[in-house]
Amino acid sequence: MKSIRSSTMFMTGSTIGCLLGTTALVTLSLLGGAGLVLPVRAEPGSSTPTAVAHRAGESSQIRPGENTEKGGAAEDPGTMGFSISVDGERVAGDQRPVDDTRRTDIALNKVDIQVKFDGLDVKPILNVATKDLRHSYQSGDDITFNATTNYPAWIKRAELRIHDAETGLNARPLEVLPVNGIGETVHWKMPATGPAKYLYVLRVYDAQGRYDETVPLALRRTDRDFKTHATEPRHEPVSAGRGEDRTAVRNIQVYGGAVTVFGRDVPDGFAVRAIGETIPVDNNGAFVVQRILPPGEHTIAIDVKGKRDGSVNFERDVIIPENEWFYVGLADLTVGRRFGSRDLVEAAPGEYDSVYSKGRLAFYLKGKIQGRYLLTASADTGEDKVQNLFRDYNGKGPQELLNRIDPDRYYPVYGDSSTAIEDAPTDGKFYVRLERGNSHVMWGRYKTTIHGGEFARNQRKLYGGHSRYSSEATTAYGEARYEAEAYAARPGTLPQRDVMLGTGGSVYFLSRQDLNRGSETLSIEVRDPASDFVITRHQLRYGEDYEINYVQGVVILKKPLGSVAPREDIISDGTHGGNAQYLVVNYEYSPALEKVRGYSTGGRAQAWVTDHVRLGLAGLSEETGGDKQKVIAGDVHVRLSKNSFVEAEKAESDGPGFRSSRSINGGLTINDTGTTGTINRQAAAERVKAQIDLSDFGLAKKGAIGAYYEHREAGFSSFGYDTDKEQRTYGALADLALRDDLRLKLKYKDYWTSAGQTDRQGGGEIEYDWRPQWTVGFGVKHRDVVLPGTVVYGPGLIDGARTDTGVKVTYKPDKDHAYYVFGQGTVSRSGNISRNDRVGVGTEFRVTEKVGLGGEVSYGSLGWGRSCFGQL
Amino acid sequence: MISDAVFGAGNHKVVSVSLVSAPSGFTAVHNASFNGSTDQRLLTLGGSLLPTEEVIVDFVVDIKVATTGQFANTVVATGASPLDGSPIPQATATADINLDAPGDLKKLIVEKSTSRPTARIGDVIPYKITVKNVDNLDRIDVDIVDFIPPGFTYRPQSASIDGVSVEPVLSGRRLVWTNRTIPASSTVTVRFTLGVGAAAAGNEFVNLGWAEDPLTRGRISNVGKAVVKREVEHVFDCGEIVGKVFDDKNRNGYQDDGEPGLPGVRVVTARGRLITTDKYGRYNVPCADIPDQRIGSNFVVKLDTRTLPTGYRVTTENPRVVRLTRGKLTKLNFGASISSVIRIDLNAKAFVGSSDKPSGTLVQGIDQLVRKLAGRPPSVLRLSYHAGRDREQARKRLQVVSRLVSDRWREVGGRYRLDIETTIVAGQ
Repeated sequence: MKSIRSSTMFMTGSTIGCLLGTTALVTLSLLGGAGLVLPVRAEPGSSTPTAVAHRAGESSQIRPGENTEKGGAAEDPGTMGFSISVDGERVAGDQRPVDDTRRTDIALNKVDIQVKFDGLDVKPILNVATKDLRHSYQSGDDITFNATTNYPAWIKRAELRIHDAETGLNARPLEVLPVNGIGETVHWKMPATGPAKYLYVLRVYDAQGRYDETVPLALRRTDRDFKTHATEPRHEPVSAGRGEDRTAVRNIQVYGGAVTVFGRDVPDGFAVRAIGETIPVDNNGAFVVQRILPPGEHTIAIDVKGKRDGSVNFERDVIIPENEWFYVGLADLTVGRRFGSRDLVEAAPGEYDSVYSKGRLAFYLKGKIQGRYLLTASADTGEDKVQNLFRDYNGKGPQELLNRIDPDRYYPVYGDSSTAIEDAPTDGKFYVRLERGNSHVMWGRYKTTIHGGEFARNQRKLYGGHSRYSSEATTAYGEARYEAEAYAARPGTLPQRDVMLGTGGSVYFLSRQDLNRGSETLSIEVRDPASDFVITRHQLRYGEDYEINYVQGVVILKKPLGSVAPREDIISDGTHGGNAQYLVVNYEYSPALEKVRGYSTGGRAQAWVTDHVRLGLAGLSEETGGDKQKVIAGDVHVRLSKNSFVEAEKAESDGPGFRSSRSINGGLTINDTGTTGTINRQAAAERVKAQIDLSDFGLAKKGAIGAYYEHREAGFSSFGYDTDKEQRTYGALADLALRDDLRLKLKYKDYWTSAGQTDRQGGGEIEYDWRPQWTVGFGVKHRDVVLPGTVVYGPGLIDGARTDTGVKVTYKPDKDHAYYVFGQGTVSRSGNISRNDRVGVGTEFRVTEKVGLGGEVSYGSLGWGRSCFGQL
Repeated sequence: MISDAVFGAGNHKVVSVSLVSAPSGFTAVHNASFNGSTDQRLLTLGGSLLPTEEVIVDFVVDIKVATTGQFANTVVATGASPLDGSPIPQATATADINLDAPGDLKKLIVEKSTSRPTARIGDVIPYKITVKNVDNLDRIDVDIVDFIPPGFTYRPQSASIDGVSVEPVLSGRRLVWTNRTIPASSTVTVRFTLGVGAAAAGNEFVNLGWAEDPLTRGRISNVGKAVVKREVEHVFDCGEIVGKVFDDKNRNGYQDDGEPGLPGVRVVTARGRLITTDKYGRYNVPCADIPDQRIGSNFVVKLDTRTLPTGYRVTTENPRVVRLTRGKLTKLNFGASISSVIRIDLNAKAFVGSSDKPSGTLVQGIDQLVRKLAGRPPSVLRLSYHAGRDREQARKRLQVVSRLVSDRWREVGGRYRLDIETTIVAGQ
């Protein structure tokens, strides 16, 4: 079953008039990601119902079908009670179809049901969306969520979890609503108080307590009745989100076969129940439903039932075999000799020589063994001299040339909209993959996903061997108890990392061209502008968040990236406040001049020793030319709950490090940072992080307390880390709600490098909801720095300290508008650090149901600051 | 004298000139402004030589020429007759000098690069050669050579050296910029563009560049290399496949009028590309393969029959092999049709009383049917029961009949599995 992508419209890079040389930009993006699958409709005139979901907005009324009875319909109903016909020709029994009741609607006879099943192509689908696909609701509005999946046989229970958008998914959900059954709806009332933005996810558990969870979607409270997309009855989404998979976390191991039921020509007013679920029928009387069922014999029952008059019940027996195979192969041998006149032969020596023989062997095979193991294998020797067919088996094959083709580029040549997937992606002559649930062993092209720790993170697209093991046993929190991943490859490519400061635009030029297709990993990192300490990291998804041109090395983001993250604190350090935002792109490229020889190996193993203690060990080794880079890291994670934990990691690196480039103007100019490590000299790094959610200790107060420490020796280098001088960062933060209307935030950070740079900052702020519409905040911040000059502090070596205080008053007349005014001033200052006085006003408001705008103007001792931004 | 043509202007410096011996009274002294080119008088006027008398001049010159080879140093003596002042016949003498390359002269460093990592036929690729002289001596008379990949052509008027347009000399695959000077400790940059012609072959195009001594034809630099990977030009190189999976109603293997496409059907290539047809049953394999240039290559596609609608069977060859030709589109259609549909419609009258036992006529009818089926192509059996309200009974009765049919089917030795689909049409 295919589904249409959500019809998301984007206006990327639309600049707005108030962008006077400052850094923010606006994206207008309608319909943020809510899974939108609109009704399924059959194609009139085609003999089979289509599995494709089409646009809503087209509709046609089902005409009652012609009476298919042969002449004399009202005559004797037949005496024998049966009629047998082959291709419409009577063989035995009565002349015409028997229907002695005559009460069944004639249209019901036209209902056409087809059942397909496929034991090899099993794709679990899980999704949730608001029923009307809206995003903003007024307080008190009843919100109906539609949960959909195609593997209810594995699901024991399901719940809808609603989180406060500010604290995110890691915090305790505000509300957990049970979902009675898949396909059922869940209701929730938008509360009048509490956070203005929510995130919701669907989480389903299997009998062992493992869970799958969807990607979060946002909800927002508004006071206005925004115009939204057409929701009049005919165009209303029939079943929001059905058929689209938006799984973010997958632990449940689904196996078996996928049964798909198509139906069309269902008369108006009839309801369809299939495989134990009421199936929504679209405006054209068609429906489609898919289920993954375990191996074995199944009877698929489909009921089409009218309110009053009659019903049809279809039954199809389906056997989902334990073992199933599909294969295609080609063995080709050409023996030839070329003849020509003697003159020709002499003119082209070598071409007419002797008898030649060429061959090619190719196959693709997919099979299921014992119901749970899935084997995919493919080999292609390419067309070559027979004696070369089996040589160089792991070398790169002729497909390499084909991989450079962009399939979308030639769309106009073919003009159809078929879809294709590469099921056996390989750079060499063969591909093999054996998988069971979430574990697999394979040879081919793959992407490593080594995370869990920070220092040995590794996401590379490689060609070679890869294996992954994920135990079926789970912790009380639903994660696999044991997990391991290992890879080995002779990549022939080099890893490259480009770190680009947001420009306010959406186009970024990478430092290399001719990237390996699909090798990129993009993330947005919010970093401390002075120390480069990574505060948050958010990974982007291809298609949804960005597009990329591999040949030219150009990335186009769907949402422009500003250089500064939105203001979080009352006191800002620069003209806009906030931390620096970087686009970090990791990718592989083939250097044009040299051939890369060497090996890449790496892996990670982790185990939850108890439900609360996790041990992890990760390592990677990269050999290019004579240089060898090694990183090994071990980590411990001890948790009280998901949100209260302590984790520590120690890593050691040896080798020259990896290449990376930095740019501050979107890649127009690029600074190649030299590798910082040294061969045969080890450098270590340590990191400790602790976080406590007060509610885990039974305290009524909401809030979190955290602390962190990170130390890296000079020369420590890994993917994402280049340390040219020893550095150490530690800090602590607390975010407490003292009363419902009183919030306190405290922060301290200390950064030090062996080059004599220090940055110590501490501060606190308190926010008080004075009246329902008014909020007053007061903050104090002290900084003591020795740093080379930056825009924030001024030119030259800055050596000094200052204490700033600030006030911010926010007025929110309703849920959709906010206005604020702020002022801050330096109360004491020493050394050559510049003053930081500033006053300003700003606003945030919603324009449409899905688009919000904001802007701020301020003036102070560091100059004018102006910004505007858009958000979803 | 030293003539300029030998060493080149400015490439030599007279260190000293001294009269070693001369007859007394020979007053000529060496000319201090002598430089070998604009002022070629080694000795100033004023001396006279009697027969058998000789003058010996010692003469030291520094030559900066980096070029090795044999040089002829010529001295010319002129004078005037003391009798009438008329010029006496001039005398010349030549000494050959072998200049060897200075032992410590470092090689020139040539780097070659292009901004285009990949190229297709018909593309224009800009190249850059930088020649770096790391010595503190100028290198003169250097030929800069570019050896272009086969099938590439030089684009006239595209070459420049340090921004000044200079056309190379073309000979075969060699482009040569002759007699260039590479100043000491500096770099000369040559830029030019090449076109990728239709004859260009191979997986990557290697362009070499170096510096050469025009006399010895020997390389005086390393060989710079720029590799451009070939991007497949689908118009010239690819064998493409387009096709359709259609409902072959008359089972003749061809798509005739009124035979629509079948959507959502999967076809698979031998490399594991899974393609699902669009809503009109169409599919494509863009650049399915790069076939042999002369005789083409075979390509196989298989239709995954499990993705056909129930009861459909392929009426064309499956899997199917076609011959691909470079730069040509090949059509590969699959036909499938619903095989014979056998309908058995039943109601309560076909059973004995209120039991689940089929009536004798029904059993006879089924026997008749099964015998008829045995000689037919694969079929689908649709069993419908037109029931009153009692659906449980309907279900049981259908089970009995479908078991009866399968038993009979086995007895006559049916060659394939008979798919039985059951439907209960219930009244109120």
